[in-house]
Amino acid sequence: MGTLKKSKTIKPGLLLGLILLLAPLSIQAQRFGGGGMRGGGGVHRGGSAMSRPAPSHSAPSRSNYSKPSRASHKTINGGSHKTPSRTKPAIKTSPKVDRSGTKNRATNRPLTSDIKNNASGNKNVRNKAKNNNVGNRVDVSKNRNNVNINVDNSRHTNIHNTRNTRVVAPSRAYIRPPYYYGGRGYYSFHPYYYHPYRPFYWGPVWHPWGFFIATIATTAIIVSIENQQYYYDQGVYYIQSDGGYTVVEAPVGATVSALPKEAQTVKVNETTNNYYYGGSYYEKDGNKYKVVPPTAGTIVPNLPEGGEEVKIGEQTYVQFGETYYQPVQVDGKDMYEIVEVKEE
Amino acid sequence: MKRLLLIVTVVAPVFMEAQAVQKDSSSALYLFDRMASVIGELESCSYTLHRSEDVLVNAYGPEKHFATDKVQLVGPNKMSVQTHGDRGHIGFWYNGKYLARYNYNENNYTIVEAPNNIIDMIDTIHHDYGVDFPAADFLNPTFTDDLVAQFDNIVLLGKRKIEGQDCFYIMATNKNVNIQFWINDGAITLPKKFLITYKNKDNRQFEATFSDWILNPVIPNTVFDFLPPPSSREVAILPQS
Repeated sequence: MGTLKKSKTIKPGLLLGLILLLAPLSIQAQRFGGGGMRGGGGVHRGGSAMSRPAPSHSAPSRSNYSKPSRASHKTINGGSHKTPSRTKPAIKTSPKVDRSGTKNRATNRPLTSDIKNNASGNKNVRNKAKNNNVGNRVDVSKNRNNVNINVDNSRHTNIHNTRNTRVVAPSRAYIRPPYYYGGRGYYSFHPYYYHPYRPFYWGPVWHPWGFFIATIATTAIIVSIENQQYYYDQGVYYIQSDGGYTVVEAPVGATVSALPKEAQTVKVNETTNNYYYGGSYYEKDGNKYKVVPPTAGTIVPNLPEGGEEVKIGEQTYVQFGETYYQPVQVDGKDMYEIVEVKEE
Repeated sequence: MKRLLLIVTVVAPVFMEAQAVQKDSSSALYLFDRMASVIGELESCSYTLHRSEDVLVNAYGPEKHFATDKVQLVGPNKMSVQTHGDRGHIGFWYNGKYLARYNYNENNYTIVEAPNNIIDMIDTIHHDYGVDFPAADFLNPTFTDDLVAQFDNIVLLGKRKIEGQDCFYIMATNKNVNIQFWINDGAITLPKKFLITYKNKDNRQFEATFSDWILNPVIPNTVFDFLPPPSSREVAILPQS
């Protein structure tokens, strides 16, 4: 008897349960009439998830089922939003982000919470179209006995031989897919293997780009390229400026009769070697040495001062003007490979 | 009461199967909306994400990479991510003004200014620097609308058990991509797992599984401030465009 009574009292509950279970799905089934038919479009948030169109939605009506989110402004995403009617596809555009305000922070602050807006805070966000101005930053590695060279950045020179840092494509084919970032492919023959950039010290007579001296050594010789007169002394090129001499990049095409004894031979490919000194590349031209631009794939053991580590996607390169050096490891030794950058 | 449970237990799977046959997109959308509502009401949360991804890095075919992310979020503008993967350990700290990224293996970091809420920050940093935050799309307030806009079919295929949890199994497809979702079937509807197959990229896959969801935890603000470790180096960062 008791069981029978119980059964009778359960029936309305059963009915209610079934209704509650089925109702939302039934209501939903009427909303779009089997919709979901929208344009294709990529599903890509950098390879990890779906991309997001601009969160702009407009539709005239909303079904009864939809309820506004009760989320407050303190929620992690401001509360969910739903297009009142999903009968029309949302406009698929990339998020238009106003990046004019994207500036970097001031440096040398311990906590990100302590960072104040600083007019110079933009310096660590690189301009993609950047050219050869990197040379003005000099920061000698701390492990080099704290040798500090103060470059007077107020002495601007207008000599920028961009050909010096513009990388020449190699004659051999790449066997590795490039590293892609920002619509560009970064091609190399060796895999990325990070090691910190520690500028090599080529001795007291070598100076980085932008370095200023009041007088030049009597051993300097004059080299003229494209109506520009350079002074060459022990692997360093100067131009006359502001009553003195400023170090500049080695001008492509310049020919000198001798290189410093510290110059090394670096392998460009199976049949070609370059001579390398202080970040400049030479090839033998009869009895002389001619300045040549860097060739992609060339492996160098050291980099001079004046380069800058730049985070490109997830990888860190060292940039000199238009030349990017990828940290690599060859035969167990930390080296750098000149990278070819291609618009893809 | 037992009978009610019995009927619900028996009817529900059958019903789900029926839905699968009918390729019912509205049920899937309902679940996504419900999930988005739950996420949209959270003032803070943390979760762990185990993920794998096929990446083309050599000439022989895609490589499979693995990572685990521990994510902490406090609305509206705080986020931290610790990513341990086969390619290293990376940390992100977002405090509402700046985003710091520290590479533990390289011992270097970048800091950039960022918008003042999580969603805009994710969009801006992804757009400007190509940074992918783990499963960030689930945080998108317009998650369901975006799916509807981008996929030809969104179908509830029934229920599956993932790591002991009952989940709704949903598939979204278009000509380029197929995404499988497993959404937790419980009082609190949250994502459990998803798998993206890039049909236009040799069927490469991205797979991620959520665990350790904690809803509305109290997380101190200092967690989201980056303190550069001694001897670490700040490096410049190149925007994508």
